[in-house]
Order: sequence, then structure tokens, then C-alpha cells
Amino acid sequence: MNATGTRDDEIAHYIAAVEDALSDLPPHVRGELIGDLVDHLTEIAGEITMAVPLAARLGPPEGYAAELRATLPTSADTGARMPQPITPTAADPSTVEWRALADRLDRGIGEVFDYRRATELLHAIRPGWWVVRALLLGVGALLLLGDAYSNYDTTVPAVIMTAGFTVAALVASVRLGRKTSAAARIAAVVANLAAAVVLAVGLVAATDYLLPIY
Amino acid sequence: MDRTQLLKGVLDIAVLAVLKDQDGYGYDILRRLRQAGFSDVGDASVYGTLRRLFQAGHLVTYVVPSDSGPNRKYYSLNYSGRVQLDLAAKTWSEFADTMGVLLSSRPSQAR
Repeated sequence: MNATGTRDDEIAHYIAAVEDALSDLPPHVRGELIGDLVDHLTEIAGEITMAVPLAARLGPPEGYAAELRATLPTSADTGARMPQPITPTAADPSTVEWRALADRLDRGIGEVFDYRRATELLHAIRPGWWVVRALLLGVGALLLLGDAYSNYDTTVPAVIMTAGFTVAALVASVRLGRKTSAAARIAAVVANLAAAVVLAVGLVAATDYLLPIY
Repeated sequence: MDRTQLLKGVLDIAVLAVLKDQDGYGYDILRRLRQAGFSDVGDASVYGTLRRLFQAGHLVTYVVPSDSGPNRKYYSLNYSGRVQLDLAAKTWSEFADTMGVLLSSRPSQAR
């Protein structure tokens, strides 16, 4: 058996023991608690060397289960753990159905492209969008500078200015895409909107050019 | 006093707070909490809290492939999460002020 297989087996055994320790909980509560545990423990296992057993990092599965159980909300009346879904939102059947549908679509569309999830695919192709976004902003700059240069005499050709701006936009766009701070998210939204405006203007201009006028 | 019991009451706020300015994945969030001073917080507590906050609609997730290992699920605050954090921060501030006044006045009351 290879190393990955060994680790996968270890994770499976660990989760089975956690699930066993939570067996008194209703199935839907237990499912909510451990539904994502395989991915989570796989992620944790990726952070530690193969020489370190999972239980050495996380403690015994029974302790892990007890800690998980403690994250359930308590009943205001008795202090007992509530034998019902974790949150009011999760208890709403329509919300659960929509989330389940979204999850199925996410997985189904992802499988078409040989990915586990569509969201995973979208994140994989994000660098492509960062480049396209920069090019669109470069085209936008060319359009703006083209108008400006038609009215004034300048020493630097518009095409060189545009190329310089596009390279700078490319660097900034890729660096921005890799950041996850709140400020970076706002800046990314602004850049995306600007690129979308350029794209829309371009499409309108192309439509006007291509469609015959009677 | 048992820090574990105290921690249980504030873990929601702590997790929301560490995600305020930067998204993070499970192990990363655990690391940030420990660096902030919650040295005794456990992985299961953080994982369970993240699940609950996500189910409550305060977080969104996305998966980022990692060059050095398995995919990482990143958690990010959405609008609801930011509102929840603001409310919780206000409540916590009032609570801490009240406790501060109570504790600082205790010796004179005892005399």
C-alpha cells in the first residue's frame, strides 16, 4: 500500500471512531458535524509529515468527538445538547433543499470538466481571467487615450502608452487576484466592473459594425 | 478559572474576527487563533465552529488547489457574517466593560 493510501485509511479509521463516539446524536446532527470531516482531515494531514500519526496531532478520536459535540448549540432551558439541526437556518427545509441542489450542480458541472466541483474549476481558471481583465483594461486605456491624443500633440505615441499601461495592469491584476484581504476584494470588484464595462462597450461597437444598417 | 469554558463562549466571535480582514482555511484559522493567544483551542472546536457559522449563513467557502498538498477550503465572511461580527463585538465590549467594573469594585465592596 502506498503512503497516500495509508494516510487515507488512517483518516477513514479516525472518522469512523469519531462517528462512533457521536452515535447517540440524531443522524442529521451527526451528518452536519462530520459531513466535511474527510476533506478537513485530509487538509490537516497535508500540513504534517507522514511520520506523525493523525491522532498525535489531533488527540484520540473520542476527545475530538467530545470537542465537536461541544460546538453544538445548547438548549436555553436545560443546558442539554439540542437533538436537532445545528442552526435555525439549517432546519429550514427549503434552505437545505436549495443548498443540496446547489451542491449537486456544483459537483455535476465539475464532473463534466473532469473536476471534483465546478467551483474548483472556476478557481483553477481564475489566473486566466486576471490576464483577460488586464487586457480589457489595456484596451479601455487605448480607447480613452485615442480620444485624448486626437485632440493634443504629444511626444509619446498612444500605442506605447497603452502597452505600458497594459503591462502594469497585467502585473497589478495578477497580484490583486492572489490577495484575499477585504481591501483587495473591493479593488478586484472595481477592476472586474471596469473590465466588464470595456467588454460591453466593445460588444456594442462590434454589433454596430457587423449588423447591416438599412 | 477554566479557560476552556470561557473560550467556548467566545469562539464564534474569535473565528469571525480572524476572518475579518483575510480569508483562511481550517488549519490556517487554527494557527491564527493560537498566534493571537488562544493556545489551548483545538482543531475540532474550530472545525465545528466553522461548520456552524457556515450553516448559519455567516460564511462562504471556496476551494483552492494547493501545490504542496490537498485542496484547501477557504472560508470568507459574507455580509451576514460582518453584521454578526459587528453585533458580537458590541455585545462583547459591553460585557467586558460590565465585568471590568464589577471586578474592579469587588475589593471595596468586600470591606
